[in-house]
Amino acid sequence: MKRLVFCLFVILHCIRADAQDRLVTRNGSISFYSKAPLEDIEANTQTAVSVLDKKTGQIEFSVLIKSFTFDKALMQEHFNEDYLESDKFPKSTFKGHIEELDKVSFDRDGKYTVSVAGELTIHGQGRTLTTPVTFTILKGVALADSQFDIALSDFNVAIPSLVKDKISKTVKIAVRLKYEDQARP
Amino acid sequence: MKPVFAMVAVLISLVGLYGYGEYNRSLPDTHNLEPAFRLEESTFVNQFETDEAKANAKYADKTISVHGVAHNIQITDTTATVFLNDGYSGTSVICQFGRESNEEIKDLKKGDLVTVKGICSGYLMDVVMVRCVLDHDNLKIK
Repeated sequence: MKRLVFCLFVILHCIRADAQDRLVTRNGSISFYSKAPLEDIEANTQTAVSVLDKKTGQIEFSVLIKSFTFDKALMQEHFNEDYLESDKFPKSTFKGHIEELDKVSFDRDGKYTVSVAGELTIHGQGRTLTTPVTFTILKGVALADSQFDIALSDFNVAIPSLVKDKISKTVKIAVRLKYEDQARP
Repeated sequence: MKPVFAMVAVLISLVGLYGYGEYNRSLPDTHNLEPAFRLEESTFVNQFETDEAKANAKYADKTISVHGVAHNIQITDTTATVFLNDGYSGTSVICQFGRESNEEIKDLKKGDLVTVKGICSGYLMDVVMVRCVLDHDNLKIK
């Protein structure tokens, strides 16, 4: 009996320790912007989900394509139906890790810029991405900021030939994730 | 011939006006949208947890009115997020309010029973709704 109680204690302790290493956000902000002669395209969402493991540096995020909101209805319809095909590819994901994890101290307030590398999947196409990310740690909350450019052709996003020369072929993406302890509601 | 030219000119103008209007059409104000479904938060979440594909087919892109407890409220300069959760589940309905709706939820407190109307985007760790507003017309879901 004592052995059983001890085993349960160890298992629960391990689960708790594992959870404590994880930081989570459920309302992360992702926006994108592209400037072009025909039209500037801009949209954002504040519903990205991300988990960061402080111990291993593993980082993942996921966002629903349909959650991006545009100012113009027609632009949002084209984005979902023609470009990103959100019914077929509803989510975009990133799975990667912090390179040089020892340069970030999640338990000490400060600002740390490190490189994050992994695979970004958009429109069902995965591509390797390495980008600088700035972590701002303040009172147990980690704010991650990153900006990077992607080429639409890398993700098989086809631009209709009629507007091919009038729409930018690259898009600037800005990510802001405010992580908190997983234990918090 | 003149009347023909005039008619063509009018037609071209009308098509142009329609195109311009369509190009600049804004997203509809959620306040003015009639919900396709009115649901309790736990019922809504359960359906996604049970069968995500089926729930997506039923609810994604639709205007939904959801009644539940405001378990958590996070307000920033640009947006506000209300987490509807009965307190028993790890899964919430995440309601993203736009900047223009920040004012209407400023008096909302954690634990308040509330009805939120928004557009369902799908399911990640939680069910996601965007362009949300408070649904004063459906304070109680039957």
